[in-house]
Amino acid sequence: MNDESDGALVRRTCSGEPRAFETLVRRHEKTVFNAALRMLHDREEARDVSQTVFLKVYEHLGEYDPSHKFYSWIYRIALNESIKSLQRRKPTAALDFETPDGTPGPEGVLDRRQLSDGMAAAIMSLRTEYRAVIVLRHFMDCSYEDMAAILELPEKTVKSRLFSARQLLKTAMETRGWASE
Amino acid sequence: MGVGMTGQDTTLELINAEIDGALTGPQRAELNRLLLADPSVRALRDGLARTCRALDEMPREEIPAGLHEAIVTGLPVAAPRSHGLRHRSFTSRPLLRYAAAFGGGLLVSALAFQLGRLDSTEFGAGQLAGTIAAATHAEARMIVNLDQVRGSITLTGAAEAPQVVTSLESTRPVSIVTHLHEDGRVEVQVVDDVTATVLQRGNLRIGPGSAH
Repeated sequence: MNDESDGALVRRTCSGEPRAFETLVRRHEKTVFNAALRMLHDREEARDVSQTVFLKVYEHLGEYDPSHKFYSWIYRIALNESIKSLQRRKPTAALDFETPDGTPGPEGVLDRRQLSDGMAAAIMSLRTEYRAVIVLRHFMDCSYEDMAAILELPEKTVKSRLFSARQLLKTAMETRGWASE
Repeated sequence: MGVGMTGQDTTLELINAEIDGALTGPQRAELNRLLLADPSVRALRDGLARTCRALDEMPREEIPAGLHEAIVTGLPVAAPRSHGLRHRSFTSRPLLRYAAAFGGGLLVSALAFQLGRLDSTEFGAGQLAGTIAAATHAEARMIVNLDQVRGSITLTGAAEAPQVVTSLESTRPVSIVTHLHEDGRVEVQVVDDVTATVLQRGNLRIGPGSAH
């Protein structure tokens, strides 16, 4: 495990050590891929977005401002690229994903896979700005402060948006029986 | 009926702060008071907590096989821009580069793109060009996202007879040079035809390491 800070790895990359960038990729690729996957609900698109994100990061690494957190910067690019990918979709594409049935199985309980699939569909039913805050908070483990920096919004707005998004998800879950005890 | 509008906002804020582990001592006391006094607040808190727990318990997917390699090998040849550093290898010697690319083994494909100038950085499906073969199952893909050329180069088909599928837009003439190595790896270079410099280079491979 490489404990070197992101900032140090950025400096080494910019000094002509491309292997340092590989460490940055390894450190952040899973989070970036999962964020894109939750934004897009499509593994192939998430894969392409992940590649694009790291390409952009590499190309613009010299413009990175070390006074900001590196992961905030990379997560912002990941969200923006995911949104661009959504915008490139045909209008009907957003309706293509299936909404799984929330009916409990024979044992009377929802298994984890059902719950996860149901939640993934519920996330996709959110408007993009709500989906983004859910992804940042619950899949990228960002604080309110991080989210405000990434979205370039006041913290108060971010909180309000997050709380609304959670309520919308709760309603979606309950409507389909996914959140029942 | 439970809380009013302003009270509801405060209640929501307290519940969410509890979920996020951000409650202060006085806020905790206030939330406890609300929970004891109003069953609708308890139901709201329980529902939101359950929803957030379900979110947090969703599995984090492993990255697809081959993605890490595709990212790393697909990086531009040039070091990050503002530092002005450039890797000096055969890319700085065009003749050697072409000799290596064309003479070393089986040339899978090489094609030139001389597309119209694009003013927008955005591109859509209607602007795709340069396909060698129809992609049915992408095995390995290199994303190209340079100022001059954008899109993807995909290696598909059987490992012993791979096909290269390009989906690119370019604002200036570029060539895509591919070279099949003995180890099954296909080296791909995006070459600027005007300056004869390699803009991006990567290795694609069909096989267990690159399957989704």
